[in-house]
Parts: sequence; C-alpha cells; structure tokens
Amino acid sequence: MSKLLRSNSFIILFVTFILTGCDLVIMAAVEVTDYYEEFEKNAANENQDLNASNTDPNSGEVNSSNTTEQLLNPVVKPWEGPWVRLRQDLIHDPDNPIFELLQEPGEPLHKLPGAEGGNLIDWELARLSGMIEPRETLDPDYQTETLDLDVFLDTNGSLPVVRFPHSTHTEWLGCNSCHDELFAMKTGETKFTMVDILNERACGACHGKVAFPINDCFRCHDTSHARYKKLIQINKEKLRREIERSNAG
Amino acid sequence: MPDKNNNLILKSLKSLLVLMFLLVSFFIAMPNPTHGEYADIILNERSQKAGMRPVIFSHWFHRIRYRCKVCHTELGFKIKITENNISMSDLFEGRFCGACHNNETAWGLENCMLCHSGRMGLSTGIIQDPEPGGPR
Repeated sequence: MSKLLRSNSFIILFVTFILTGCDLVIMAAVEVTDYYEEFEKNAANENQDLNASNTDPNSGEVNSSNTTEQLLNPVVKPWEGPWVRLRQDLIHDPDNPIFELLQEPGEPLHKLPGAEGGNLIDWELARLSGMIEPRETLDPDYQTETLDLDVFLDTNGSLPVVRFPHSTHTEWLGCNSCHDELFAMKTGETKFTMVDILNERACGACHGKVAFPINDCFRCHDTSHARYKKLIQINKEKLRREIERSNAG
Repeated sequence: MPDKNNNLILKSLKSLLVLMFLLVSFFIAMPNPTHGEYADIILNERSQKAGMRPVIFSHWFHRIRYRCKVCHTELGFKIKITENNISMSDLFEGRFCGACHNNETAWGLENCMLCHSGRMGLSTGIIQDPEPGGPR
C-alpha cells in the first residue's frame, strides 16, 4: 500500500510538472512565432545587402534598383525589451482593420532611460536629458506655474525622510491636479499613510497608476535623517537672512 | 494494525497537501489575463453599447509628446477615470480629445478605429503594474 501511495504522489508530481512545462513551452512558442517573422525579414534584407556588395566590385556599378528599394524600405532594427507586444497584450483587438497602424510601446520606449517598474522608463530623466520634449501648453497664451519648494514628509519614521520636490511635479503637472482635492495647501494638514497610498489615495492617485509605482521605495524615501536636519538648518538660516534684509531695506 | 492505518492516513494527507500546493502554485504562476502597457486606459462606458470597440488611451504615447498638465489642467481631464463623463459630441465640439484630434494638431475624429481599438467586453479601467513586487 505504501508503495502504491508513493507511486500515486509520484504520478501527481509528474503530471503537474508536465503541465507546467507545457504552459512554459506554449508561452515561449507564442513569443518565438512573433519574433520569427521579423528575423526572417531581416535575414532577407541582409542577404540582399550581401548580394549587392558582392556584385558591386565586379561590375563597378551600383545596382540602382537595390538602392531605391533600400531607400523606400529602410531596414528597421527590431527592438528588444520586456514591453508587451500589441498582438499579445489581450486588450487590443487584432481583428481591427487598421491594427497594423498602431505603434508598439517598445518601439519608442526602448530608446529612453530605464527604471524599475511601471513603463520601465525614468520619464523625468528622459525629459531633463532632452530625449523627449513634451509640450507644456497647447494654447501658447495659456500660462502655467512652476514652484521650487521641497516638502519633507515622514520626518520621524524609521525609513529615510521623504522629500517631495514641487519643482519636478510642477514641471509635469498643474497645481489643481493635487490641490485641494488630494492635498490641502498647508503642510501637515493632510494626514496619510502608506496604506492610503496603496488604496489609491494621496500620492497613490498617480504613483502606481501612471507615475512610477511604489515598489521603487527609495526614489521617494531618499533623504537621510542627518541630511534632513542639515537642510532644515540651512533653510532656517536663509529665512533669517531674508528677514534681516527685508528689515534693513 | 492501527499504526499502519495512521501511517496511511498521514501519507494520503501529505500527498493531498502536495497536490493542493502544486495546483495553487500552478494557478499563481499563470500570467495575468489582461496585460496592456502600464497606465493604458480602457474606456467602455458608451462604446460597446453603440456597437464600437472600447477606446484604448495609452499614457506612454501621449507622455512622450505632452506633459500631464496639458490634459489634466488645460483641457480639464479629471485624474480619476470615473469622474470624466465624455461623449463623442464633446469631442466634435473641440473639448477633451477633440482639442488636439482635429486634423490640425493630431489626426481627426473620422479615424474611428485608431482609438476604438480594444477588444469587445473589456470594462473601463486602468492597466496597472502586473507584478507590483518588482520589475517585469
């Protein structure tokens, strides 16, 4: 009996292993079939190039038909990356008659600086480095505001202090996106925890949905307690000087 | 004899536990059924009722070209999807998407299928990180 039982559990193990194996193989096959067409195309293009280069030195003339073809259909290098292809993303309908016109996410995104989570893109770095130049307004007369003010949050926690930079946020967003629906204007008036953020309140309204997700802990919790104390002192001194100047003037 | 029976029960329980564990792990290991790109938005409040495919708005595409404030401040899109109540008549009057999609800034509204490109049956919502524990 014990032998039979052992063999039973063995069979169960075996079957589940085979099932998981099949699953993995199917997933891999789907990816392979997708890449296959592109590689085939590339191989064909490369062969054409080789033929052209072989014939050129012998004849001493450039094959004009080949070059015009190449000009009309330039060799597009296929991108590689973890971005889901539209055909497999399960939200786009491949039966759409103009499906081929839609752009693959990985096509522009693989050129931009990487980050963990979300689109896997450090959007702020991409903007600062000039790789992307997102327009600030649609109507040229429309005025937007920027504010250079750091707010420190969670100053007594065990993790490093959160530095909220108004500068980067106001470069992307307008004031009314956060104030006063998500946050009160006065610092410390809106109280929230990480649980609120996980439940899509406070910072969680964007972070975890559009902006970088909250598994990137130290992108927000980036200021050590010692550095925070120094920064606060520097700010106090600046304020004192300004008050003295205004009093003198 | 009672000892042997006990052993039998224990062993069968063990094998059952193993089976359960493997089944559960098998289903957890299955990929997420809907996985678009991060922050893709599906809009299907009115589309399917009118016989059109749901709209898919991709944040990544627009983010390369415009800052958040253009849509979320200048054009008046609310941050929460459900607070926006947009119909095609709004767009034809030049509000919301219609501010750009007018054949001047971007392609016009007669190119229906470029936006209405989703699979039938999807519900309104936003695509979030498929693996919140780390990168894909």
